[in-house]
Formats: sequence, structure tokens, C-alpha cells
Amino acid sequence: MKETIQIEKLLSEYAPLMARIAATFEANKSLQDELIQEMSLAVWRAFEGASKDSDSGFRGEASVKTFVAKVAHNKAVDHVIKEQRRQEFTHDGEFDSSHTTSASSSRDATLQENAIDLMTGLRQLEIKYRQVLALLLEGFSQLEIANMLGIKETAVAKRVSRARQPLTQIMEQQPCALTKKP
Amino acid sequence: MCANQKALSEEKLSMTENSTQMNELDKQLAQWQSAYKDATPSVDTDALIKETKSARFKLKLKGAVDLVLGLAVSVWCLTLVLFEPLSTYQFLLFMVLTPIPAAFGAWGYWVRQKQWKVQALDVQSMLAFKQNQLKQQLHYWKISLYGCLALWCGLLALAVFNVLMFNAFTLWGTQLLINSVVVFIVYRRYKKLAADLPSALKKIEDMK
Repeated sequence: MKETIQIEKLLSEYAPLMARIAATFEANKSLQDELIQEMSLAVWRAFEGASKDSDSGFRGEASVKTFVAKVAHNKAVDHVIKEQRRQEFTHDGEFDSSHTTSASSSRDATLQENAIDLMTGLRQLEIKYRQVLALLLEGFSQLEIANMLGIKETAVAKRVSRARQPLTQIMEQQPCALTKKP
Repeated sequence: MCANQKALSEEKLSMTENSTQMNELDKQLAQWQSAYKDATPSVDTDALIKETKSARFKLKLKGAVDLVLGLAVSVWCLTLVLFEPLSTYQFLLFMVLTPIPAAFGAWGYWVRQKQWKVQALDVQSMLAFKQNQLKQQLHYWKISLYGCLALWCGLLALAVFNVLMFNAFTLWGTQLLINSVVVFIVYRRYKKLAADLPSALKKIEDMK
């Protein structure tokens, strides 16, 4: 019971992080919601597994946030593979701006547009570049990203540097692409 | 001396340019980080936790039902073997059948646990697991195809025997036809998976 309450707290705390990761990999809002739920379930099972089996789950990772992000990214990549197989994965960059937390905040519209454009831009990158950039934007260090992805720190640095240029270009090409949507 | 001064001044200029570029990159990154956080989709955490709890309960229930049903069938077979008067043929049949449902339930549980553990691996290992899973899937379909073909050949031999000896053409012809459809479906599925495998593996490789 105590464990359940702890996991519930953890899910509440990291739900926005999982939502951002889901939005980075999936444009469709209903599929995003499905993905967030799958991530939550995977996180729950991973933490449960940790209490039963010391060889799996949370093994004293750098932080709980790192562990949650890793499980969430795995689930997101899994989702992309499944969607590719179903040939239903959309690349049209559709994004429902009414579902952002900052919609009702006092921040100006330009900031909001930039945020949406960034997500759209990120979704147009190859997955390996999208992953490193998303994790970097989340505030993880290159070492943490390397551990999460199972690659070398130098490879992370290379990917970040390669990903920045196309993302900048994409964002410059379609700065107001989403404002055309109703 | 003059050349040295020129070189030093160029180096200084280049360092200043680098520093400006770095500042611009850092500024861009900071802007992106802020924009990324601003793009957080809204999440109803209470509903999310409720749905996750329900999904977890359903998964656990499904796993338990699978295991209990498997055990129940095994226990029933064992009861027949131990306490019921059976012919030699029936005895052998139930002896063979007894461990299968329980073993299948245990195997299902093991596969599910393995799949959950994969989620906690690093992304590269998870992708390697996925690639291996695709190869294994093709292997299982290949084995299934060989099994179906072996059964079909056995059925063909029986059909030929029965048609020649008892002229039971309709009965055996129908059975052969139905089994041919099954073999054809398994063959088509195997060929489709085999054709799709290289591109599926490449797609996963590209994600690494």
C-alpha cells in the first residue's frame, strides 16, 4: 500500500515529463494520451520489479528522473516501432495547441508559437537525433543521456551537434506553420 | 616580430568569434529549453493514475487467470490419470497432456516478465532486443510452417489410404482441403514476414 502511494506520487510528479516525451514522438493527441498511459504503466512495473529483483528496474540510477525518462523513452521508441509497423504513424506535424499547459498562462503568444514549432520541428528529426535533443532540452547532462541511450558520451555530443542544424533550419522554414490551423 | 603580432591578433579574433558562437548556441539552447517546457501537453494526473491502476489490475488479472486456468486443466488431467480407469491410449494421451497447460501458463508469465524488464534497459539494448524478437518471430513462423506441412503430409497419407481402401473421398478430401487452406495461410504469413524483415530491422537500426 505504501509502495502504491509512493508510485502514485511519482507518477503525478513526472507526468509532465512523460507528456513532453510523448509529444516529442507522437503528434496525434489521442495516441499521445495512450502513450502517456503506457509509459506510466511501464514506470510502475519497472519500480515494482526493482523491489522484487535487484537485477532489474531502478538500480540506483543517477536520479529517479533519469530512470523515469529512460523508461518513458523506451516506451516511446517501442510505440514508434509499432506505429511504423501499422503504417499509421503520422509525420504531418499535427499538434493540438489547446492541450498545452501554458495556453492559459500569462506568457505571450509568440512564446507559445515557438514552443509548438519546436515540438513540430523535433518530430521531423530522425529518432536518434530527436532523442538526444529531447533529453538535452529536458535538462539532462550528456553523461546521463549517454547512460540512458546506451551510447558513448562523445556520440551524444556528435548527435547534439548534428541535430541542432536541421532543427534550426526546420524552425526557420516554418515559423508560423501551425498558426494556419483553425 | 610583426608576423608574430599578426598571428596573435588573428588567434584572438578567432577565439572571440568562437566565444560569440558558443554564446549564441547556449542562448539558442536556453530558448529551446524554455520553449520545450512551454509545450508540455496538459495531463489530468488523477485520471492518468486511475487509468494506470485499472490497466495494471487488468494485466495482473489476465496473468492470474491464464496461470490458474492452465493449472486447473493440468490438475484435471492429472486427476484423470491418477483416479480414473483409462485405456492405455487414454492414459498415454492424458499423461502427455498434463504438463502442457501449466507449462504454457508458466511460459506466458516468463515472457511477460521479460518484456517488462526490457523497458528498464537502455535504449540501445531495448532496440537490440526488438530486432532479436523480430528474427525469433520469423523463426517461430518457419517452425509452424514445417509443422503444418508435416501434419498435412500425414493427413495426405491417411487420405490416400482411406480413399483407396474405403473409397471415403468426400470426408478425407474435405479435411485435406481445409488443412491446405491452413498451410497456405501460414505459408503466406511466413513469406510476408520474411520479406518485411530486412526493412523492419533496418528501421530499428536507423533508430540506434
